[in-house]
Amino acid sequence: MKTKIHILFLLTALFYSCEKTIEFNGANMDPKIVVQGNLLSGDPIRALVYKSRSLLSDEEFYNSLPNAIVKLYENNEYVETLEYAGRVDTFRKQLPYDVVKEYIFTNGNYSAKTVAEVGKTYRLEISCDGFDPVTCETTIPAPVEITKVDTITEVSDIGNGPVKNSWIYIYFKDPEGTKNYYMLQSEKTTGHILNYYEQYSGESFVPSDTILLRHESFTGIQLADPVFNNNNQADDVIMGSPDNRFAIFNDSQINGKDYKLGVIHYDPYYGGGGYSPYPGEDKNPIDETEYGNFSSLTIKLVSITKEYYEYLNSANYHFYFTDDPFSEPVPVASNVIGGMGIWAATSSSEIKIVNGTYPMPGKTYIKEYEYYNPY
Amino acid sequence: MKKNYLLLCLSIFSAIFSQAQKVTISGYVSDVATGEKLINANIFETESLSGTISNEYGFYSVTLPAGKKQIQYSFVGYEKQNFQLDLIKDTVLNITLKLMGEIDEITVLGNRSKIESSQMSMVEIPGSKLQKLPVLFGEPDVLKVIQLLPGVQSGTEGTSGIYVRGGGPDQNLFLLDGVPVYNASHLFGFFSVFNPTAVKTVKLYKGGFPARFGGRLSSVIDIRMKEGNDKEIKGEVSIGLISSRFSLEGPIIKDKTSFIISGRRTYLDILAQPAIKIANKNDDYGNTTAGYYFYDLNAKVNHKFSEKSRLYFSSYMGRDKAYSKEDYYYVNEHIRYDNKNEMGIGWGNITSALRWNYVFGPKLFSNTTLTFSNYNFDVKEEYKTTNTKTGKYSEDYFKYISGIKDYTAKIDFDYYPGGGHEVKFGASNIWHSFKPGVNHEKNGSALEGETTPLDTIYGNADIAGMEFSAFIEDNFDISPRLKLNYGLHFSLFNVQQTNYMSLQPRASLSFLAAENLSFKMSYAKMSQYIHLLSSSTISLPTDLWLPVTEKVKPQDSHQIALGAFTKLGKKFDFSVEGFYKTMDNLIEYKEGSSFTGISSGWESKIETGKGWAYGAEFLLEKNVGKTTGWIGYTLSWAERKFENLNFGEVFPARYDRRHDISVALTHEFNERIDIGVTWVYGTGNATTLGTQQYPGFLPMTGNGYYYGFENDITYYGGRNQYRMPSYHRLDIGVNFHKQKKRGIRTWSLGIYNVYSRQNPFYLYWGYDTESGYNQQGQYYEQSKPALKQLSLFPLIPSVSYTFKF
Repeated sequence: MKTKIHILFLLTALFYSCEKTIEFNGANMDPKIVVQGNLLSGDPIRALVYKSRSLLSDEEFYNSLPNAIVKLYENNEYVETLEYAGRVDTFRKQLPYDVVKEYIFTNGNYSAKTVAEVGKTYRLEISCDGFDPVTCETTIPAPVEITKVDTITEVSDIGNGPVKNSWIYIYFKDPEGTKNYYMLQSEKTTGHILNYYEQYSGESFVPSDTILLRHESFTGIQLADPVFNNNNQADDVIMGSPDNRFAIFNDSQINGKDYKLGVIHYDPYYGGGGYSPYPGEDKNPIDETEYGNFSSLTIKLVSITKEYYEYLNSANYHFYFTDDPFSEPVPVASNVIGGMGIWAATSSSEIKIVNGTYPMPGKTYIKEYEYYNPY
Repeated sequence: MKKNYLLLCLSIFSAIFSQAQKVTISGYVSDVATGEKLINANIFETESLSGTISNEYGFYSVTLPAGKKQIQYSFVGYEKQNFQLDLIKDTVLNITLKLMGEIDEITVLGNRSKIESSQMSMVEIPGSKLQKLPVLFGEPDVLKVIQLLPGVQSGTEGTSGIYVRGGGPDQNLFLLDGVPVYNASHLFGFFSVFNPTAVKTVKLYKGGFPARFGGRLSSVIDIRMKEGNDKEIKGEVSIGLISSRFSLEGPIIKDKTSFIISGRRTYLDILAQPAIKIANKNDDYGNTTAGYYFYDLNAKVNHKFSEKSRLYFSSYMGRDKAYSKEDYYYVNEHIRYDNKNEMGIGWGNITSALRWNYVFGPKLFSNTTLTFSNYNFDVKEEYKTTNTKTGKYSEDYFKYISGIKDYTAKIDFDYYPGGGHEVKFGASNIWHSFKPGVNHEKNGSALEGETTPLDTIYGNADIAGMEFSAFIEDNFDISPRLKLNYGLHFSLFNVQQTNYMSLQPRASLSFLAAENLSFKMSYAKMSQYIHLLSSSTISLPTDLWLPVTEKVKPQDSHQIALGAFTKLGKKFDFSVEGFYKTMDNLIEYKEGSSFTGISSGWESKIETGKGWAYGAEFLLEKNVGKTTGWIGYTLSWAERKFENLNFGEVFPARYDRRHDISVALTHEFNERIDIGVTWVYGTGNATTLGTQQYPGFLPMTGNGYYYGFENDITYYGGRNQYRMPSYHRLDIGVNFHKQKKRGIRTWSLGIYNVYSRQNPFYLYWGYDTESGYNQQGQYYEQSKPALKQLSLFPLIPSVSYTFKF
């Protein structure tokens, strides 16, 4: 009996913890102006202007600021005031007692007539009643051209069927004398014959001329190159999906050099059964590219500003460590003085590697999600 | 100019060493009943009031003019003794003092030395006090008592981490009989490793560091273990809720050799076994066990070769272990497979010291020490599946080890030349060996014919470092009113073909403005060659001790302090101290790094910066009478600035605490009952808490189908900018003593957190959910964001039984 009492005592004492709601009594709860924008050379300048929301707020959406005054300066000279061009929508939420609450939200889009040019500096000065004014500035970086691409493909089997790995080497020259920041992105589109999934076992199969285009969420670019070491992305994989849709690096190891950057493209579909755009070992005729199946991998080398690099780098950590109690929270860098967000600028060059033929004469291409969700 | 300098040196030298017509009395001061040496006993001549205090080994030496003198020996809690001496020649006088039967209202002159002494920013706690104050789970704890002193902030609730004058947890030098202890906590910081039963006295230095100390920036906690009763066998056994402990001491050869051995162990793991067995009863295919325990063992032997020569050997060994084991089996295609999963985490210290005291003469005392200190931490995980028919198995094994090992050789001297000087000098060399994290991985399977098991060891390379230091200090009574302790500490650290050197001046000055009022000031420069890379709010064994390297520079601090010390009436001591401290080359994890990724390249995962702290500390003490204790109040600021943290802006240190109050009182009703009460209040800890959210702007790919998903960014408004709710707590403990036939038994009852205050441990954003049936009888749930607080310890009663014989 005594032992039982002891255990009870100990367990209660050692593992007791209680939780309660407490009142927030800090500062910084007033909303601030949030600016988002990515200037691309040759495109008109656009910015999204929102207000931040308190963590105590139960709002579902970020409200834009349609009444903001957004002034644009090019190389320190006033150019124009951006016009509000937000798209309005309404969200309805069902509350208790059959109360329906409507949230009107917009995307906070402001646009200018000015077209962005490489090397020019663009500053926004934004004011809005009830908010502290903000300013942000960025200079559009010059693109860094991809001069050559090499691929080496190998098929390996580590016990789970054949896997195809392709080393893709991208050649470029890092500009001398400047600190450069880059982002590597990949996109993958596959095309497959419409009636592949509609065939029935034992029936003869006649390939259709309609090819469905699928945007793959998994692009599978493994970051094997040492340039990724300095921000902890080494051996990471660009998924293309929200988890990991880009990789960033800087020129601290390659400043001013001709560089051959290598990544590994891993193809999980290869030989794994089911649909594959590649010729499989079983020579299933529907897998053959001659009917129009293809895959297209685009790799973009994007020159980004230092501020955008810091923003993306800190955002990566921010999301990664959000729920880690052993890590200090990571604040996200911003170049919006007095507010939040990022006023970014990028220029890119890209390569495309197509396996199969795309487009193929005589075929009709339809985006998969539009085919299945026409409305 | 050169000539003048030479003359000045000569005159200082002659002032120190010319002692015509003077006689030196020297010897040891000890407890009459136990033979235990008394540290800081007062020895003074009653007419001129000139005198000294005994050193860490109870040795004293005082030089006085020849002639008839009355010498008084006193020590707090002991009956004083007066001797009429006719001083003709140097005399050795070993004194024994008797403990007062009951602490009465006699004013002990020992208090006066606190006012007169040049030492400031130092508090001494006798071992006996440790067991009278109430603490968590009724486990007396050295560090939790230290946390009650002004200038010392506790860490997270219940833990024994200490933060002194705005410093970090790695900036405290824990010396157990002079040996550094690296991780001073058990049970993730809830208990300290120092078994109070074995502790004789604890001194905390927060500033005004004498030159003999070095190696840490913020504090020195000098813990001296008992030497062992050299008259008779004595012991103590205590059984508590969490642990039991024992202590046994006595003579091996009476008046010559004595020993003390003490130990404790927790028994949560043993008590939990029945519950685990019951839980396993329903599982036919296997067993699961889990447990946690810690133990520590202190042992000390000392031998007196002669009045001049004594040898001490002391050792400490402690370890924490948390483990889980799972054994089960399954049958597949008529073959039985046994599965064994094991997980363990363990850490511990081993320290040993061999010390030889030799008295060269009445004026020269020496202490030679060889020490060893080893701290290690390991995590082990093993999964094994065995085919019971073929004996083949598959294995997945991982082990992580980190630690630090020190060997030290040290010699120091106390020289009492007379003329008001007490000179200490010495040198030491520490050979450090750091193991900053090594992983051992084995995995492979022979179950299905695979024969390529992986067996690799990887991680950070071991780093060797050598730390040499030398010091000289002089405690100089310039006049009866003016006392000065000044000195130099030199240190040199050699690591990776790089040498770091530091010359650290130290000085403390006291001026006795009136009989019971003194003003003091001090300056100390400190250097620290090892860092603790810590990522968490509690003291985790994963915190890594790392040396300075070619890239990571030593930490430095400068501290100045001013203070006033006075007596209020006959019973109270009051002091106020102001301090200002700067610290350079502090380290922190980079934003987003944590120990989970520290297996390699730790140097690239840290940031260096600087910090500063300033404030004022008030302490009202009562050391005599039936009611004793103190009330402390600290007003302080502690800030940090790192180029790459918080965007380079200044931010409050994690334990920046504006107000900190502690009350610690004990009252002895009679010989049978005493009570201890503590109450603490502190401004809430600084924490980083989000206030706003805004949409992220991450690159899109393809059709942008995923845009907006998981993209909310939280805005914090700055690192450590939010204050948790304030912390306060009342603890009460009562001891009931009774003389039994063979000794004294004590029942100790305690209540931790008497009014069950829910103190903040961790804050996070969560949701309050409201649910029920609406008017249409439909069930609904609705939630809204809310700030949530986790608390650890509500009211916790404790009981323990102690028997002393």
